[in-house]
Amino acid sequence: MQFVEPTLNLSVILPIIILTFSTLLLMFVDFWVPDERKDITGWLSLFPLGGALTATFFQWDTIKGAFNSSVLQDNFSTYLSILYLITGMLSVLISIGYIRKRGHGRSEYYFLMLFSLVGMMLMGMANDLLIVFLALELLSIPLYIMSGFDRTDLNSEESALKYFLLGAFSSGFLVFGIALIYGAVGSTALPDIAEGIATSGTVGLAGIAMLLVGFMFKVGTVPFHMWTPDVYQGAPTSVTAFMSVGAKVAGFAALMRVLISSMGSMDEKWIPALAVIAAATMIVGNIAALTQTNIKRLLAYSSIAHAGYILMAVTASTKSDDGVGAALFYMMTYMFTNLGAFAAVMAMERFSGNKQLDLDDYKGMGKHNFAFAIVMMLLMFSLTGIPLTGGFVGKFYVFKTALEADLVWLVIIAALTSVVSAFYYMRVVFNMFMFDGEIDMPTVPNALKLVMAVAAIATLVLGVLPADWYTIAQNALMTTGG
Amino acid sequence: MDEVTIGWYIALAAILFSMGALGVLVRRNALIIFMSIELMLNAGNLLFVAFARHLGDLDGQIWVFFTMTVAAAEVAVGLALAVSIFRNRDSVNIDDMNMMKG
Amino acid sequence: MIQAIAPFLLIFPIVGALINGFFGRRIQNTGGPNKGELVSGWIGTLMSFAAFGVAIALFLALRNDYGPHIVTLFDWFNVGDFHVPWEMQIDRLSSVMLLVVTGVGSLIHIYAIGYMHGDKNFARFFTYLNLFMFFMLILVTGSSYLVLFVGWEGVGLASFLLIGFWFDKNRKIDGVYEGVLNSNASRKAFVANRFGDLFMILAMSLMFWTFGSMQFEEVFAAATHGFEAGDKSLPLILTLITLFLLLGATGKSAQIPFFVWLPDAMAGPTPVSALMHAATMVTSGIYLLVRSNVLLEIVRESGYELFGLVTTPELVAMTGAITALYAGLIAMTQFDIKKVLAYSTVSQLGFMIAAVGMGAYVAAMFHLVTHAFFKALLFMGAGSVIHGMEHGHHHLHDHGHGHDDHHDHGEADGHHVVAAAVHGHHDESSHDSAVVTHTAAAHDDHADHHVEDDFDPQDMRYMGNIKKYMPWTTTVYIIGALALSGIVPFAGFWSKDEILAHASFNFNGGDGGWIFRVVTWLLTAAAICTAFYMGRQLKMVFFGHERHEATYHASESNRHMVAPLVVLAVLSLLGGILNFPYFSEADATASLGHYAEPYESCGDGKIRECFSGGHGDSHGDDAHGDADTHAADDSHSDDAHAEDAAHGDDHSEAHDYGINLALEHWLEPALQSFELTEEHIVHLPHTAQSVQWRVAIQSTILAVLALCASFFFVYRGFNSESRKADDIDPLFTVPILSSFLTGMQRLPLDTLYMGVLRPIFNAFSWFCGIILDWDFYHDFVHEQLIRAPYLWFSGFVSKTLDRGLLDGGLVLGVGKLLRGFSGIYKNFQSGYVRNYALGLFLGVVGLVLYFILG
Repeated sequence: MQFVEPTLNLSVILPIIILTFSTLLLMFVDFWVPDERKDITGWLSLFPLGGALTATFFQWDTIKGAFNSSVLQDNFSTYLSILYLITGMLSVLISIGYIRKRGHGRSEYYFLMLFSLVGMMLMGMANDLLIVFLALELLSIPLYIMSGFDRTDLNSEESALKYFLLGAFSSGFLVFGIALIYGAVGSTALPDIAEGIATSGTVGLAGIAMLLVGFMFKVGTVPFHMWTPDVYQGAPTSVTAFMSVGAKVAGFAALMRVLISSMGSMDEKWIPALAVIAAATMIVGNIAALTQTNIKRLLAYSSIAHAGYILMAVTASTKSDDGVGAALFYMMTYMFTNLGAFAAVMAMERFSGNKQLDLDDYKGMGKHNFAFAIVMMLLMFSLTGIPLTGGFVGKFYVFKTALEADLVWLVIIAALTSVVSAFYYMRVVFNMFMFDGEIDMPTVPNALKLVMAVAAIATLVLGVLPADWYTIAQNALMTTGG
Repeated sequence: MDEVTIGWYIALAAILFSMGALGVLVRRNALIIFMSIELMLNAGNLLFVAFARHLGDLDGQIWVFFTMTVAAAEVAVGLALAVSIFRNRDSVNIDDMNMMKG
Repeated sequence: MIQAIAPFLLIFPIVGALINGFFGRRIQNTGGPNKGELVSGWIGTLMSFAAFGVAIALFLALRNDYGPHIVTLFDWFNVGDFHVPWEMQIDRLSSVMLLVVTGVGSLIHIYAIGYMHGDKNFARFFTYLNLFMFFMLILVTGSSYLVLFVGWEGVGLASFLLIGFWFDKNRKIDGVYEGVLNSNASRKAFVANRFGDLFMILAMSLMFWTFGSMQFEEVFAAATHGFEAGDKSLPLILTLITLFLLLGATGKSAQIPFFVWLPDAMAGPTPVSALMHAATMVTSGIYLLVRSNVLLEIVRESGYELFGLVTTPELVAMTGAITALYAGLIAMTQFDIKKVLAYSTVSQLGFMIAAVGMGAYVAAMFHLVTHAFFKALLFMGAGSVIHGMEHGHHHLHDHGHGHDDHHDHGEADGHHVVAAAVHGHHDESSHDSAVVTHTAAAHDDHADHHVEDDFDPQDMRYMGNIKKYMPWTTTVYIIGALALSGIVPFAGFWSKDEILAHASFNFNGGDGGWIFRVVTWLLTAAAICTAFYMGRQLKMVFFGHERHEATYHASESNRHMVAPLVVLAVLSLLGGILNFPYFSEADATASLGHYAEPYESCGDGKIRECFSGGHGDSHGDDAHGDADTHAADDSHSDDAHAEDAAHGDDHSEAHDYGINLALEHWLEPALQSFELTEEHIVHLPHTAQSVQWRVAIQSTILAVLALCASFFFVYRGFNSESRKADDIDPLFTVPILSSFLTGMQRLPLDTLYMGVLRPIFNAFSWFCGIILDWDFYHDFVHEQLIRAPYLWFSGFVSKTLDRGLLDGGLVLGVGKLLRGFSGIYKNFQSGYVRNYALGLFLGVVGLVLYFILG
């Protein structure tokens, strides 16, 4: 028997190492942080993120595999890692003041978030279903806890349990699906699957279907989306913001990697299925949002709808060269816009009594706090996809790539549902500017203001000068094989 | 009696998995649902082991360890959540939890 | 060098706008009002001057260089293979525009420091001014129609913001808040301009569809190439493109049919009127057409006639000429000092457009430049007069009874704004001719008005003998008026004469067809009107006797306002040097050689078959090879000689062009149709190189006569001081009987005029001013055709779509249906985990079945 010395290439997972170990270090440091000043831990947790982000920047344009090629580093993973880490930083910023009040002074929140980020980063790099599975669980389990972080709040508890039960249920399917694929192909490494999947027969096909379920659940597409509104509404808003971006992008990352690099040859099989799911997702997400009155629930349905648009690009990604780039660009705009929107929600939110999450609570905002209202309006415009905002450009590229893949009917549905989406997003804007009302707004912490400003500026920049950013997204190519 | 072929293992795993899934769908008690999910995961484990044996490949067995570890972690979190909820409402019946809907 | 400095053209103004936009109010309020204002104003002004410096540097760099230089700033957007870079095109044409925009603009900035003194939104004003400069520079430096269009829209925005700058004035005019009127005026400008823009977009779309590009160079090259290759459909497409461009230009440059907004735009502060609505922004339509000269010339060459009637260049010429005369006639009937100038601007822009249509691109640009000088001068002079009148009125009030809203000087500035709804009304309702009062309510209010409130510092009927109180203003204003009237040797004479000469040259010498003949007549008549209304204005404002107490207290404006006026007066005096013609054909021939090419050979009645031999000798086939004898611009005539000496030895017959036709030589390389003419691809109409003595003498005589006539007739018989009675203008409103009685004591000529000519003229001007302009254009076209659908549409959007669909969900079934679906869906989202799990499970089953069976 020949012994092959494994290539470790630790540089591939350097950002992950930095993030993991500095988080562990932070947990020790946290012992000495007094309970009433756990904000310090929050601020300190920016350092692991910053370190990892720096390390990630240096990875751009290098392609390497590590751990017997079960972990891959290419521009695709690097791009996504950057997105996650920015998401992480913005999420930490919006969380600090919020968790102080809703988290009972517990600092575990930050560690959980950082570990969840490790899982997300691994999702983009995974080149073996084992890593995919572990990364998925690593990102999910902290999220279950974070959803229920406000232990005394029944909504928070309920959302955590719902998320957990359904999440575990879906990972049951995931594991079973992977087992079937393993049986059919004889390996769980994506390159091996790419070779063997075409001839794998019924077992393999059933495996693919169940594997997809795991991802679809994470990104929240119809009919695996039903947890989303409840969980988004009940979880502490900072958690909602974090998972609506991070978990969703990570789910799509793994989905794209698995579909394109290991099942590209079977695209005739999965394109119709995904296209139908994308269409259903866009329709259900947008229509259900129409009658919502709770802003978090509205944004939850909106995020379902956006998952549909991203899935549309994913569906087109084997037929069109720009599919992956369009999806990645869309994720970037979605990340900034959605984080900004949730930050705005948090700025209004009260922690006791009337929580001020009703759409009607925004009436009269235009007069009360003009800057806030303008930023919120901009973000709503971007979510709707109105020109000069990032959301428009993102939708534009996604539509274009779907047209290139001959998914005309899907584009028509997407366009129509975008129009429908204007109805509920604009309701927020109308409430702010067209109606008078008493606004009872707490003082907005500076960190929240910063995040909203970053989101607004990024949305505008991506909307007005998208060319360079889109080029970056297009260059975030995926390598296949080992 | 004939050799037990891989088909039997797949069938057994499928039955176990279906039982687990049905358990999730029909039971009301959160703890029982946890157990049903465990059953589903273990059906996956059985499948891995069977395929590993069938293929003469160790990967499947390694998978089982990972799956068990993850399952344990999930259960730890799940039980903690159940305890926390039980404290708040003296019940782990999931049908009591529909404050958020629509 | 050009690559390096060109971006700063855009950077300086936008930096100024940002500084004043973000910190302006703080700057303005620190260190006492005066000091802060000066800082804020000079920041804006210096940024403008910095841009002027860059423009001069670019001009100097282009002296030995033809351009065009393409400066790529960044990639605008990439869609697949379709790249739109953001590029600037620096060539000789844009350099002329740059010098005008930044040069005149800078002077107006200085003036505005004085004019806006005391306004509470001083910094905001400079923000907008710099913003305007930014967009205007984008417009003239864009290398494609698309970039140009960005600037085009941007200046529209700046114009909108500045016309409505005093949107918060709460003085009531005829029962309507002045601020409302101001914002109505700005909205009107915006809406009218959008209609022009619609055609711009059509033109660009068609262009992109046909040539796959909107870059100037690429479009022109493709069009030329297609034309040479004999593309059958090209003439039609180019005809449509040029037609749409023309309509776009009529919006921005205030020509028939879209000129209605410009007179109302006078609601803005006077520096705005001077900068945007006289000197720069409104000329962008001319720039657009001159830039598109290749397209126009190809259409002319192809002879494709729209509806079998006229070619688009001919249509352009007719549009300009008719507008010139029409606006000139209306200008004669105006009482508002700024509105006279506004209609005059429309008229002069008509001259330029007519020149473009006749292929006299250089003449158009020449008139554009000189017009910028003297019209800016006149507007700012008028602003100075208004300021003086305001001051006088203010003074009067301080001693009479204090009006609460007169304390703030800035507020007081606002009073001279007469805006949309009062247009006409204010002029006509006060005298007794048969005037349609537009609303009964307005009329009633008018009767209730306090006498003092009726004082309008812009109304020329209240002025008179200003020369005694504002000597500087008077002097420069007279210079500007003479320049505009086309009196030798002021700038306006040379430029206007060049257009007239071109027109008559082509129909006399070249027999350019009926168009040239008609245009010649129309423009000559318009020139007479010009001299007449300017004379009338001079008489009413500066001469005669004081007609209102306020006049006695008028005083000269401050230094910031007078200094730019003097500079512009010098430019108005000497501007003719820019494109000084040769004095005889022999001189021109001797100097240029090739102009000897006889136009007699073109006797077959078609001008397009008769072209000047281009400027072949001076730069023939190797024209673009190296430094040629291109030289001189502006007042650098001395330099120009030196340059010529240095570079003029290229050809054996090296000619020292001197200052003669400097602008033409400067622009030639930028106007590709010259080159195409040399290559015999198109045939540019003949241009007169020397003074056309007959035309010059004739137009001078006519102008002088018109001036004299106006001085002779206007306000004749009103030498005695009177107050309110001066509302009556003898030109229009004195009842025939009284004019007869007073007239009897005077010259019979006067009586003849009063009794016979005046009523005819009165009826005609009433017809033009009230029926055509107000009733037809404003009421019918603007109100019915444009405003009513617009209001209907906005009502539809706000009431039906918004309130109905979004909030009620009742009016439109779709909304109801969707919300119904939404309600149905809510039943599925029951909140029970097992339902969700079931949904998930069914999804799994569906997927698995699809994958196994499907």
